[in-house]
Formats: sequence, structure tokens, C-alpha cells
Amino acid sequence: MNFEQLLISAKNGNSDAKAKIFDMYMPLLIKESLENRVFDEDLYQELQEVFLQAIKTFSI
Amino acid sequence: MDNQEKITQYRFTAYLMKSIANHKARYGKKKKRLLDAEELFGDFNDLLPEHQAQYIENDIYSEGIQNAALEKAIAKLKGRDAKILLLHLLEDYSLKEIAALLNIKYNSVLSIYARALKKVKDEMGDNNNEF
Repeated sequence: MNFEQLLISAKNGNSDAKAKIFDMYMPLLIKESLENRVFDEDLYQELQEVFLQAIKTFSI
Repeated sequence: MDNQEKITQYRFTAYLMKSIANHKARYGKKKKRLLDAEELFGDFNDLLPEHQAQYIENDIYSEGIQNAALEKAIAKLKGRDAKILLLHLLEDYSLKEIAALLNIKYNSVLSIYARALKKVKDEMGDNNNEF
């Protein structure tokens, strides 16, 4: 399954597809959750929500 | 991976990065406000009521309040009521933000605020139009 198909099924609520895309972007979310080299757990959780929201609202 | 697929992935990555940047900007502001509020009101609720009143009278929580009668009126309020009133009037927090900050219902904040305002007005006399 290519990225576009994965994204389409994630948009349709497929949890496996969401998990696969999440695995791809997890390093980015972790990197963005660092502030002065300290990991901000709260920010990481909020960015996970932003990620899920982005899947929902992104138009292919 | 063909070109079209790459483009979709790049577009999604760019979209996600933009969303993250926007969220982080909001998060930074929110965190700063929380820290400021903590700094301002940190131990306020741990104090005895008479000490809370004293604190307000000593101008520690009343920066920006010039009117002595108003200060006294606010000093007579309960800790939480004074906090809500000051956060809304001096710190420009919306009542919804205060509800989230203090972890109480919006309607409660609304009624506490209205009650506190009335108390202050009553305390200062009907002729005063400070608010």
C-alpha cells in the first residue's frame, strides 16, 4: 500500500493505517517536542492530537 | 515510490509541519500564561483568609489597582473569587480560559464572577462606577 492509499484509509478511520503513518512521523513529533533538549511530555501528547487532526483535515 | 505519491507525502509533511508550528506557538503562549498566573497567584490559596486579605492590601496582588476602596473591597472576597475577578479584569483572561485554568465549570466561573463583581460594587457603594 503506498502513502496515498494509506492516508486515504487513515482518513476513513482505519486504525492500522493511522498507526503506520504515525510510525513514519513519530521521530518528527519527538523532535518537535524537545525544548532546549528537554522532552516535553505534554507537548508531545498535544502534537499527537495535532497529527491526528492533520490526517483528518488534509485534502489529498 | 512514484512521483505523485512523493508529492502527496511531501505535501502532507509540509501541512503537518505547519500545523505543528502553529500549535507550538499557541502552546508557548499558553504555557507562559500558566507560569505567569502561577507566579502571581502561586501560594494564594494556601494562605489563611486574613493573610490573603493582607496580601491584597499590601499591593502584592493588586498591581494596577489604584483605588484604595476597590482594593479593600477585593480584599474582602474569598480567595478564589478574588482570583477570578483579578484574572479577568487585570490579566485579560476570558472566563472560559479561567474555567480551564482553575479546572472548574464555565458556568461556575460565570456565577462566581458575577457574584464577586456584585459584592465589590455593593462594598464600594452604589454610586461608584469603577467597573
